[in-house]
Amino acid sequence: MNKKVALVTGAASGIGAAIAIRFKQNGWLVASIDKNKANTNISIQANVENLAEIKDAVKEIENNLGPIDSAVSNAGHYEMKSIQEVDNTSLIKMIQVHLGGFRNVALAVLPSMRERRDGTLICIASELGIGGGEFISHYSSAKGAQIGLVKSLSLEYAPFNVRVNAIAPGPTDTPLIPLDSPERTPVFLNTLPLKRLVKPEEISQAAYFLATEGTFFSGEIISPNAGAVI
Amino acid sequence: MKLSGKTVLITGAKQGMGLAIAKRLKRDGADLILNDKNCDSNFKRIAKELDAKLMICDLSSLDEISYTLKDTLSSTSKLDALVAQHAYMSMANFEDHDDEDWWKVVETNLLGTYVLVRETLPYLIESKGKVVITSSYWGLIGWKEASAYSASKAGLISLVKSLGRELCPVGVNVNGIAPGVINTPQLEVDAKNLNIKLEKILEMYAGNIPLARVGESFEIASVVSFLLDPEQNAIVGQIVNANGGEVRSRA
Repeated sequence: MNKKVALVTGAASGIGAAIAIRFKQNGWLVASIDKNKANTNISIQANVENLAEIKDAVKEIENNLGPIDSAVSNAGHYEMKSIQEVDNTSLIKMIQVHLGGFRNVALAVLPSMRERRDGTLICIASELGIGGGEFISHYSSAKGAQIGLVKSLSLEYAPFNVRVNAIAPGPTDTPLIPLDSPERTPVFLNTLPLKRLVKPEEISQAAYFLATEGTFFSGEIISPNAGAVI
Repeated sequence: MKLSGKTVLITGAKQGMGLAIAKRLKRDGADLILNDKNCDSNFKRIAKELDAKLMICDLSSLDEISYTLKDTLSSTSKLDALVAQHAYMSMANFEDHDDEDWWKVVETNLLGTYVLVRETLPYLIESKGKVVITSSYWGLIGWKEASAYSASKAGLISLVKSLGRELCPVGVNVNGIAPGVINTPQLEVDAKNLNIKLEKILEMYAGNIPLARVGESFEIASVVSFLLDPEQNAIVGQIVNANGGEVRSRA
């Protein structure tokens, strides 16, 4: 029997790495697209902001591993700044990485999924795209935009049995949150009902569910967020 | 198996989604306590097949819940999860809906669940347990001729959110599910009420669903299994929507 194939962007570290491991442990072949090398069956170093690079990467992955059954758009970057400190360069960068990166992955994988009438696309968004946050306006705008795109794509592709959904993690224990970040202080952690950061494995558990057993989910958001947004 | 050694109480377990959840959680290794309003030979057979304890109780009777639970839990002396799946549903236009029946919907669905959580809480605090409450997408968007049902299910959404916040610090994880249209015996009742064939009602509902079909009970049972996974504790006070894409909104 052919093994199922997953694509995870940003799989070199953090949430992406946890998702890649989860699929691998369940017998899937896993491909990574990341700026850095990842420990997956195929690891392609490319920039999600560049549509041509992503299309080429997906072609290479499908040639080597077979058609992609599930794609997880996870690559992102994080930056805390007040709106007055966000110049146009960092604003555009934020939108291009998150909204553009997700759009590029979608454009690269959806045509084949539609043709096969099978497949799932998962976007790793953020609770900040739902509830907003202080001093993070460009990031939360980009994450909110991803959610809008997820909902629209879900409608467009559901008739072809292709499910598009999102996960909106809360603050997660990854290198994206530096050791000296305010999000690691007891004061912040105490504001969370769960009183701790989300584990990357809790995100990967939700991603694997959406890719496999979550067969009636379309255009939805699952929120492992430690209770940050309820 | 991920739920080995865990005792789970499932309400409304005789048929439909409740029965599918029972079968699924059994497969995950759980010890089951199954509730429904009446006991019959069919329910006894189900309990035997699933090696489950029965808790017969009408959940619209709040006092009955308290003493029946006390009785049931005194024998297991532990509870790791409550799956509040039971519901009473009746449809009528707002002005014609019989007063008593209108309140019975609210009492069974909202108050019955409230009392169930309250009475099981000491056990759940002890076990650092979980609660999964079934709401409905009608509780999100409302539905004509379902004012009592929608109100009761919307109330459950707010209850989940409040208890998610209140009980997380004492180690009890509370979440809800808002299923879309699911292929259960309730659809036959709906079809009868509307005086149309079952196939017709399935087709009618599927027409509003982007995935172009109604859901199956096992797909909701999967969501319960997903939420009860001991590996997952970061989902807190959330309403998980499984509706084929019909409602794309934060609950």
